[in-house]
Amino acid sequence: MTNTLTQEGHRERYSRQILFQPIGTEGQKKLLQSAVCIVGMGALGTVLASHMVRAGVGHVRIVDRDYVEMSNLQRQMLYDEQDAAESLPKVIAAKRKLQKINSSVFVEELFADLTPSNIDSALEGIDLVLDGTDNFQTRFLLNDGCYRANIPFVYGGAVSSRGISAIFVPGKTPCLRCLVPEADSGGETCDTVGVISPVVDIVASYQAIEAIKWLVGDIEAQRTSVLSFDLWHHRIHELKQTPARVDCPCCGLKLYPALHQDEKLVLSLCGRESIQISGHAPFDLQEWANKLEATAKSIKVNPYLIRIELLEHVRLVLFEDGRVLVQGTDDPARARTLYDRYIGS
Amino acid sequence: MVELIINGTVRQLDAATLTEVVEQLGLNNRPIIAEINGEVVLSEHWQQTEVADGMKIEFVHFVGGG
Repeated sequence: MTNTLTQEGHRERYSRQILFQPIGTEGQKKLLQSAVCIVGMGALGTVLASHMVRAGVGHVRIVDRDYVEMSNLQRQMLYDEQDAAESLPKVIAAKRKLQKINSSVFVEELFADLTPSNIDSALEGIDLVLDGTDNFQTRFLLNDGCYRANIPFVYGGAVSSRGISAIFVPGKTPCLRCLVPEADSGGETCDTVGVISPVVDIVASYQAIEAIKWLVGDIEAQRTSVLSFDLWHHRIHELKQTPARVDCPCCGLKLYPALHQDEKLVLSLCGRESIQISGHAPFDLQEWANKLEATAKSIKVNPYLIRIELLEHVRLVLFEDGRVLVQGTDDPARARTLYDRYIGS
Repeated sequence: MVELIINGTVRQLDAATLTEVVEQLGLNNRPIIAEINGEVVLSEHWQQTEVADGMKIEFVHFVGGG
C-alpha cells in the first residue's frame, strides 16, 4: 500500500480528524490501509461514499446497477444535472466526483446487480460492507455474504421521514435475519411514499460513524443497538441488542440461504419492450391500486389486473397471481429497478 | 376495546393479543420487531401475548429504502 500518512499533503488533509483523539495518527493510518465496499449508490450510498473518501479510507469499492435520473438529484448528493442529462451509470458519475474530492484514495466501480454469483468477488479483500441498497432481497444477500466471509455489515434504511441503522458483526452480534425474517418492504418504497433528504444524510452518517469506529479499532465505542427514528415527528428509539438466534439460518445454522437460492424474482422477456417479473405473492389489486395511485399518471383496474402508467414513460401491469409486466423497456436491469421502486423486493 | 400507546401515540383497538394488534395496524408480514414496555417480544410469541390497557408498544420498522 502506498497510501500512508507520509504521503505529501496527507497530514494536512486529515489534520482535523487526526486531532480527534479516538482517531488520532494511528486511526488515520488504519483508515488509509482499509477497504470498504458500498453496495447501492443512491441516496445512502452517495453520502456513505463521501464520508469514506473524505475520511481517507484507502480503497472504496462502489457497486450499483442503475443510472442517474433527475428525480435522484433531490437527495443523491454526488450527482448533478449533467449526470442526469447524460444518463450516466451512478458508479461512473460517483467515481468522477469522488476522485475530485480525494484523488489519493482508490475508488473502484462495479456497474452490476449484486447477485449470488458475483457477491464473492464484490466482497473480496474488503474489511467492511456498507449498505446503500433500496430493497430487502439484496440486503439479505449482503447479510449472508458478509457473515459467510466474516465481514461486518452496516445496515441502513430510509423511507418517508423514517430511518434505521445497525452494525452487524459476525461472531459478535446477531445478524439481520436474527432480527427480522426475510420479508419485503410491503410496497413502502422511496418511490411510493417518498423520502426526504435529511433522513438519508442522518442514516448514512450513523452508518459511517460505526464503520469508522470499526476500521480504527475502537470496539469499546461501537454502538450495538438498532437505532430508528422519525425525523418529521422527532421520535428516536433505540432497540437494545437481542441475542443471536441459535436457529438463525444465517449466523446460527450457517446455511446462508440467499447465497444458494436462485434469484427469487424471475425475469423473462415478453416481446418488444416488455419484461415479466414473477415471484411476488398474489396481489390484492384494489389495495395496490390505492398504494400506487399517488405516483402514477393514470391507473386502470379491472378484476384481473392493474395497468399503471408511470411518469417515466413506462407501464407496470400487476396481475392477481403476483406477476408484473414492465412495459416500455428492453433492459432487464431497468425493469428490475422500476420493480424495486414501485413494488419493492 | 383496549387503550395502548403505540410508538408514542395513544390508540384504541379491538384486540386481545399482539398478533391482533399487528393485523389491525396492517403490519402483517412486514419486517418489524415488537417491544412491549421496553422488552422485545419475538414474533413466535405474539399470538400468546395478551395486550392490556396502558401497555407501551413499540414497533421498530426495518425500512427498505435507500
